[in-house]
Amino acid sequence: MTLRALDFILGGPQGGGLETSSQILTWAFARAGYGVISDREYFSNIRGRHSYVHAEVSATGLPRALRYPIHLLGAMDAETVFTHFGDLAPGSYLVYDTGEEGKVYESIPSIEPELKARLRAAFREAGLDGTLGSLVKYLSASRRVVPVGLHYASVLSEAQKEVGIAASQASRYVSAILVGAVAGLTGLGDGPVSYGLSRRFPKKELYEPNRYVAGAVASYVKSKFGAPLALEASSIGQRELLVASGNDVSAMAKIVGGLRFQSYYPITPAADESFTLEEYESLHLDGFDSEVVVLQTEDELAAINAAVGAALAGARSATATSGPGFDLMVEGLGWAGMNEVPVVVTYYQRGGPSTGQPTRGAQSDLLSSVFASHGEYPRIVIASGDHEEVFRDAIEALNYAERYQMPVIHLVDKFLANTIASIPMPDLSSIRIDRGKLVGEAAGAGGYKRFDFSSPISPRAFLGQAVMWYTGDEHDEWGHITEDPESRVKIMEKRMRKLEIADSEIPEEARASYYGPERADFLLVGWGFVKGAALAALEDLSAEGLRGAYLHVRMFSPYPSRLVSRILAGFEPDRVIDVEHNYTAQAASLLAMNTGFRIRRSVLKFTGRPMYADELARAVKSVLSGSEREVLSYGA
Amino acid sequence: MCAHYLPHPQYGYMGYCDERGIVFGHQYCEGFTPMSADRLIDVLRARGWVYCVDCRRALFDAEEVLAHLRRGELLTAEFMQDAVAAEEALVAD
Repeated sequence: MTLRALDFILGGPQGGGLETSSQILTWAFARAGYGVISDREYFSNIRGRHSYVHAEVSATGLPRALRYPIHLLGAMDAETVFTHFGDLAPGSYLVYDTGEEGKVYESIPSIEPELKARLRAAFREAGLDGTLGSLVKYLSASRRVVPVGLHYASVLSEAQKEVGIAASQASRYVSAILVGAVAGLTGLGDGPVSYGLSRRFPKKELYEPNRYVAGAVASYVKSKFGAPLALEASSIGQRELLVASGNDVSAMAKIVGGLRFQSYYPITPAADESFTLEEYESLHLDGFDSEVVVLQTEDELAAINAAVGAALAGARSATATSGPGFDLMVEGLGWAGMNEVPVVVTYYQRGGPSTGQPTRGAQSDLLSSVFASHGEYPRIVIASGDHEEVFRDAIEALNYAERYQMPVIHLVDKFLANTIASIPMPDLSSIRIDRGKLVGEAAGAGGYKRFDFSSPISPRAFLGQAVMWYTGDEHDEWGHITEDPESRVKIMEKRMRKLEIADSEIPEEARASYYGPERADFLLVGWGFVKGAALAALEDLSAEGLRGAYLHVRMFSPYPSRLVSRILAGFEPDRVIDVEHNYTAQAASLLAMNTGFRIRRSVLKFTGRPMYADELARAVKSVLSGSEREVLSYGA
Repeated sequence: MCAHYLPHPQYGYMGYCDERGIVFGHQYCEGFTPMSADRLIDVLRARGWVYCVDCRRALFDAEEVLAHLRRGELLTAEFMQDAVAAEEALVAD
């Protein structure tokens, strides 16, 4: 029997080759025509702590969310098995190193004390001696888990004899063992696997030995187990798929959207976007040559101010950061608001406050984005829910910034940033670049008023095109400092009026979306990466006869109040459920503030791990049965 | 434990043989040269530390080094070079 979808986890020590295994397999499955989504979870250290990749591969569609239990666990080390054995479905497969069977969980220093305490209790209850070997036997006997034991050292020794191993690249070959095991169990063909390997290892001297290791392991596994996790033939029907992380999609979109300057200070999970942009600083495409300047500054204060300076000079300008970095940017952002500077901040949300959970996801910076800064100034706040939305929103953020001459904050949660997904190729023909009102060379001809009161959106001249003044103090039409009360009223109204214009011009349908039947029995309200889990959970619930819908909010300033109110009016208040990755249900607060509708029921998760479709579906059922607040916590 | 075996810092079963110049699984060969307690203590005196791959920590005391050795754990003061680790390590700050 073949599978329609496969969920698997690959785990190992951070820095030990896991990223390589994940990339190769994602490319290989996508090459074979399957839809893939894979999330990576890692500790905030550089090397050694447990990290893992959780993926879903689908033969019938492009997967939006992850699920438990899993069909396959591929372990680079014993810690992976100790951490994830509870995730295995009955009858699932466990790939592990038989050389580690004697390893005892108590002796593994990187396992946190809390997990050790849980393991102690579980091992005591099952009567196990604490070794990996005893756990594997137990899983096989009690849960019908099929152990796929490989002696990794012997595999590598064999590879050394047959093809030689480059000493400095040895961890690559551990990656290849897992790639081969997954390929063997799933029956993934040699063509897609070779494609994945060649993408990762373009040089022959690395490609060949890795192909040997992966091929040898795949053949052995296939000969011993068959291909028990084979997927049915893909019916997705996409001729071409883009496989990329949220970070990479944002970088690609910024280039397509005409970005010419990006500043940043490295921070997780934002920095990957800037690293990708750095790879494309020089653009040479079909006779078109251009440059994107990517500037790594000394801190985030400098990053926002450099982006503001570039925008004043006429470059499409952005910066990318995360919570602690954004906090440092707030004063600069206020300066941009005061001076009507078109600058984009791509804000990757992680767990806070303070350093918080640097490598874990969250949606706890929504209110901070909407209200950050002293004083009042207009801003646009967009939040993307999946990779396709990231692509569109990253371009529109640049357009909105220049059209309405105000800061735009583009929220992307870490889950989305670090998730690799296969998506349809973006339609580039529909992309427009809007630079807003510009005066050009004419600005120098007469007296140029940068903040001309005759219109809320004043034509913009770049530095060097005219004489103009910028200051953090309140100012008049020319930019000169003034504390005159009548002038203050005029310029405040001018600035704030721009948000009303944006509200009237940006279609509400682009700011919120309704998914589901016209008349549903209940409504989930969410934003960001919740979208995928919500839509997948609704599919599961629909199979059980529960007809739900999902309201996805994509813009929080200006808020799509009319559309959201209209949708909410169709539901009993007790059948509306807020779903978010934070403790205080921040989006529900903003919804109440903008519509007067108070959502009383919520499903929340703030562990730093993504929301899984299965746990969300269970929580929704609890809420529909009367629970007011469900807090989710699944995931290692 | 062979004195010529320089283990990978994370995968102790894989290492570099400084005698034969190849990557090697952690197993015996005809050139096996046992790592003696005296030699380990000499290394500790010279470098100030010895690393236990199994426990993933540095040891600074001779008694401690000998205790780990008696437990059969993998001790070293030199590692196999891993030139690609940076590509696998994700940013974190």
